[in-house]
Amino acid sequence: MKKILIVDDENKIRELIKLNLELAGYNCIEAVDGDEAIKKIEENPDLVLLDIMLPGKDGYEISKKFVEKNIPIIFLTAKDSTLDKVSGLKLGAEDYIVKPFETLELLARIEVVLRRYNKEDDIFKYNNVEINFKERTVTKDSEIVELAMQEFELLETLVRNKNLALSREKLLELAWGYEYLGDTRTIDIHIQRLRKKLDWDNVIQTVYKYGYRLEIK
Amino acid sequence: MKLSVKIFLSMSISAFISCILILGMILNKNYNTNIQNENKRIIESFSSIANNFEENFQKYKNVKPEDILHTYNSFYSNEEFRFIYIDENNNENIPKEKNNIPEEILTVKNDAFVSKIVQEEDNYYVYVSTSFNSDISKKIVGIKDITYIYENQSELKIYGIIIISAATIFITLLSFIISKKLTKQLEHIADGAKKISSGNYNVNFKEGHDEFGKVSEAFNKMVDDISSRTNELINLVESKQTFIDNLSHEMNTPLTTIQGYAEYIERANISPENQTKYLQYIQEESKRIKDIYKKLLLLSYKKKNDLEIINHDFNLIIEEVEQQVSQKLSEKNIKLIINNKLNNLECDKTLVQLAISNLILNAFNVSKPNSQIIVNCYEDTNKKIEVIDFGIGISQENIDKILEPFYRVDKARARENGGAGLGLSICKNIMEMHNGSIKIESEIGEGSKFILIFN
Repeated sequence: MKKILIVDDENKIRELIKLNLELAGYNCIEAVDGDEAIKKIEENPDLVLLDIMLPGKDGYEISKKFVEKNIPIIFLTAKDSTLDKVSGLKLGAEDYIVKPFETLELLARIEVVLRRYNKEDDIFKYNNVEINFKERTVTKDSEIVELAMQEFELLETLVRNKNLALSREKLLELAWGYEYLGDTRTIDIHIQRLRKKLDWDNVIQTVYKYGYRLEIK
Repeated sequence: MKLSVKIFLSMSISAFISCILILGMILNKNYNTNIQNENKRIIESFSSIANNFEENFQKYKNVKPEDILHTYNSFYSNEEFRFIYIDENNNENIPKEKNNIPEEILTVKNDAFVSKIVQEEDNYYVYVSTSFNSDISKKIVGIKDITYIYENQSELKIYGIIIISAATIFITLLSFIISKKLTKQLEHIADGAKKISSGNYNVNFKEGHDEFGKVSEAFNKMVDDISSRTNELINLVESKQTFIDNLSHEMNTPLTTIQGYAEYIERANISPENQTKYLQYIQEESKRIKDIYKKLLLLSYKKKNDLEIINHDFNLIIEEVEQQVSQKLSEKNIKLIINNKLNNLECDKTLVQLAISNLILNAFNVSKPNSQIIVNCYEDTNKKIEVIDFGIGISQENIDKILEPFYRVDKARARENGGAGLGLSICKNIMEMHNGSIKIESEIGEGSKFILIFN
């Protein structure tokens, strides 16, 4: 499990990020200010979400400590001027997310940064099913399950956002991209096939009048 | 043409012309005087020589006049003075020189003297003649070489030209330096003005008593005024930017929480207890936005005619404030001591109560449990309300900034207390609307004193 350090002085925001990240399968550690964040470097986080406006030492100031240790930084901030973004990225940050943000966007960006750092989990395992994202293969009870490309992409989206309900539109967008001109019912069809092939009737849950959620306990 | 060249040319040309005129006049005057004096002198010596000659001529009748003249000629040869005798038949004793003798010299009558200057090649001669006293038909002519006067004159001319040249060179140099110096001041001012227009206000013009000095003085004043006004504008823009940055931060933080938890409740499969908890978060944060919004309205409340300034019983004002804050103060068991010596105050009651309660709540936030807050209301030069706490105190650096909107000395702590950093800005605004001011005294670790001063 990847370890993510959340640095924000707002308790509620920290808690919110933590809740979401834990659902998505990340391990979270927290810090309320710059000094505590520096101490938490010892716990070797794989990535740090860093608020810029912090009491005491601000985010810019402590960012170099993380850069030195080759820990990727994503700035989280209410400042959204281009100048702020540029100075943040120049300091070696990997990305820059302006508050208020959408949870799915945050998760997607974390994933991209981790992939860039080759820190992404290549293999996801749940009970008797194993998914290898690198080789794009799925096995059930060690036997290869044949999946169409679209089915695999849909499965990957569900796994990456596990425990979060995704609307059919969102699934379309995340799995196959904006340009995909499909009916949302295509999603239903592919979900049915995935459930059947993986025997995941209870794992891929229908959220009434909304979409689907991959329920991993 | 450049001003320096103009000054330089006009000065040198006028100096040159006046030198030539003066020198010409002096030389001319000198020449005339010399000629006159010489003429006079020649006539004087000639008259005595002529008399002497006439006497000898009478005395030695048997001696030829040429021979007598020869004696004179050889005697005066050192002085380049020669003499010619002309008899009653106009016969000269030295015929070869006849042509040179001017007519009017020969027409002399009685014992008068006639003189004339004649140029012969490079030489100048004075011809002077007179007739014998005894016989006016016999004449004697004196010829004196005065070339030396002309030589002197031309020598003087050369001197004069040298002097004029030297004087002209000197004056030219001087006028060059002066014109450079004058125009340099102008150039200096022009350069300074260029710098100012490019935004560099670090320019100082040399002041003085002449016109340039006065222009410089005016420029210096202008630079000061422009730079202070520009700085004012920059500060204004900066403080506006800071205000906007802070506002966006203050608004974005609760918005992030609201949006995030709403999304989370929608997407995640959560227990009813957690759902209630997160909905509460959303409510709290909505309240926070509402609070900031209300405070911002107060802060932008600037027009005086919106106020209701009338005479109020101050005892009533302070009693109501005490009631408003008592609940909050009891949370930390803080004692509020009020020493009121004011009977009345001309003010907008609601706003002044807000200012006082803001200060008391501010004091509450920094006070330790079981401590006290003192409010002194009195009148010395002005009516004053002091709020004193014994909390952590404020550093000088923070005192300067504490009245700025959204400024918080301790960000994390203030946030926990629900403050957005607007309370003191509002107090300041309220005092400004009352033509009053707010003063802060503080010592780190000792506590702080906030004074509202009414005018």
